[in-house]
Amino acid sequence: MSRSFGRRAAVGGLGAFALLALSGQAYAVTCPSTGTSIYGAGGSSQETLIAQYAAQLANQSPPIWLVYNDTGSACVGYQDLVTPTTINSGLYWDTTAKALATCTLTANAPVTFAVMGNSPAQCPQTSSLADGYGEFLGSVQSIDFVVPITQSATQQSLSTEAAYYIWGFGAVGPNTVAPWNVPANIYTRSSSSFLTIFLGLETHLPVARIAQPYPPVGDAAVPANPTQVKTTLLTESGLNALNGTSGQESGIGFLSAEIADTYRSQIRVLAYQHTGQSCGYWPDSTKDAFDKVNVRTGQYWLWSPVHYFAAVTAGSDATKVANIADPATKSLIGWITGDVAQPAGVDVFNAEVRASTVPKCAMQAWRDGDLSAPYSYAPPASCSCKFDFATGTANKPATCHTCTADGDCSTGHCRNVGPAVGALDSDAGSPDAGAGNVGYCEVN
Amino acid sequence: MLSSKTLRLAGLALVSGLFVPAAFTVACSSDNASNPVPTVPTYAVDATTSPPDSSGPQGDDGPSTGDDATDAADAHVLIPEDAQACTLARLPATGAPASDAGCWNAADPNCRAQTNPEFLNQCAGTGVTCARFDNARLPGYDGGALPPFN
Repeated sequence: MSRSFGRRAAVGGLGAFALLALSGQAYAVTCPSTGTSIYGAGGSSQETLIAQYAAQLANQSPPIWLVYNDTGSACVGYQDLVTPTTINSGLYWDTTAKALATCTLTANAPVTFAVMGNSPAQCPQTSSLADGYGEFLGSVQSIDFVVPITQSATQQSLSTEAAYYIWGFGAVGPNTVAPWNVPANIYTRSSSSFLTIFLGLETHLPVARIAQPYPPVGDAAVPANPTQVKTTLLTESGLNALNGTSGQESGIGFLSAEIADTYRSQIRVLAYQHTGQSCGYWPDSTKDAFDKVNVRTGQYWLWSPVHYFAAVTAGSDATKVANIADPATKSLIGWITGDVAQPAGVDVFNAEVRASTVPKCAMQAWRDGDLSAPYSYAPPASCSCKFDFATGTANKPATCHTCTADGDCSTGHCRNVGPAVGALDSDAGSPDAGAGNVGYCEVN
Repeated sequence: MLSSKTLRLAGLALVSGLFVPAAFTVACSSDNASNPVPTVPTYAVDATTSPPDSSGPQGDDGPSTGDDATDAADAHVLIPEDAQACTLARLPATGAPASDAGCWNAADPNCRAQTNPEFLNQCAGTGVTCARFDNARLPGYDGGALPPFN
């Protein structure tokens, strides 16, 4: 099966969720009660990634149900964990529909993990990670600027300065940037969204300015920013609705790659030109690729690892996965970080790649803080070659090929011998099933 | 059944309105002095196949020297001439092992990006295309400080 089939499967899952969400959860069912349930909260930007994990875990025997509440946003989800807070509904993986769906709990349940794209220090009224909680990093996601797919191809790129103009002035007044000159067609997110926080960090605009609601709040002293404040999925559907209309040229928004890549048939990702950069680059090698080459090298600026949070046992080292208090949550985060061996049927690499994120082992640059300066990074056990195969990278290095033993590789490292990554194209949640075991020649 | 999250979200909605006006007082960035002055002419190049300026590494605002980059046949994107003013840090060093990481992780420190401009303007990898945004499109912007928004 093809890579594109796998992507369509992911789209179907999210599309089903979108329908349920837009219907006001009128069709929510009771959350599954068999097996084990893990309750999380966080941003909608990571929904695609959560869906991939949820699908794999739901197919375990006995099943493990991830119930994820994203009714707030990144920082709200974090607060759900550290406050602590209970939830009474969430998204779960419907194994029949093979899609995310909303379910209600028969009893309120405490959140045991949180997910967001930024560190806690970026959240309102939060200076650092709460005592008694651990922060664990997962795969890397990019933040993408997107426009309707039918917008003129003359618009291929956006600069930091242009983003400042667009979301700072909201197409009101003389500082309007053509063709993005219709306030209602400029999409933004809430002030506690990871995407808004990062756009604020990048442009030095206050998040409250970026997230100004429409219609204007009427502050006479401040020009209004009458843009659309929407969730990730409503941003996408709003931009898609502009396709083929007179508003298609003026539509623009920003999404995580998890969402943007899922809907590439409806929205187009722009190249991004960070301040001081002489050209704009896509997260991928080209506008049509999915290889995340420029994220991996650090040439695309807007990226961050996914942050996972969980309570640790009292007095323990909060940096160790082994000290996570809730056993099921410890397993989940341990599988993601590699600290706990994955059981059969759980393939974190598969989930991360299908969600358009980059496992750390495929990165060649890293950073230690939110949008901080990148530095060269050599993973201790690279998976770059496997990632290239999984994403169909057109320009793999000559040394990157399949293998069955170290001697097959000029690099001397034949790694990840197992089912071929062609199994990435299988339905979400099913285990890898390649024609035979292969490995990939990695640099180390 | 109201969960504690439901109650807290309602409170957050009320409180957030109080913070919006105060946030407008934060100053905007003026860290744009190094933004390159855009050039008007454009021509087709492929970031992969176009040779970089061979005069040596240079900063992000260095002069354009890419006249030899105009003949790429497989161009995907129109970009201006000075988009080729990339640093040489990404180029494989002589004798460096060809690998997934190119020269990026090679032992030779001369082969690695060291600074932000080097990271951002590294010569693109094989097959990479780019598209320049011309900041001259921004009303009143001359490459210096951005206009205040209030």
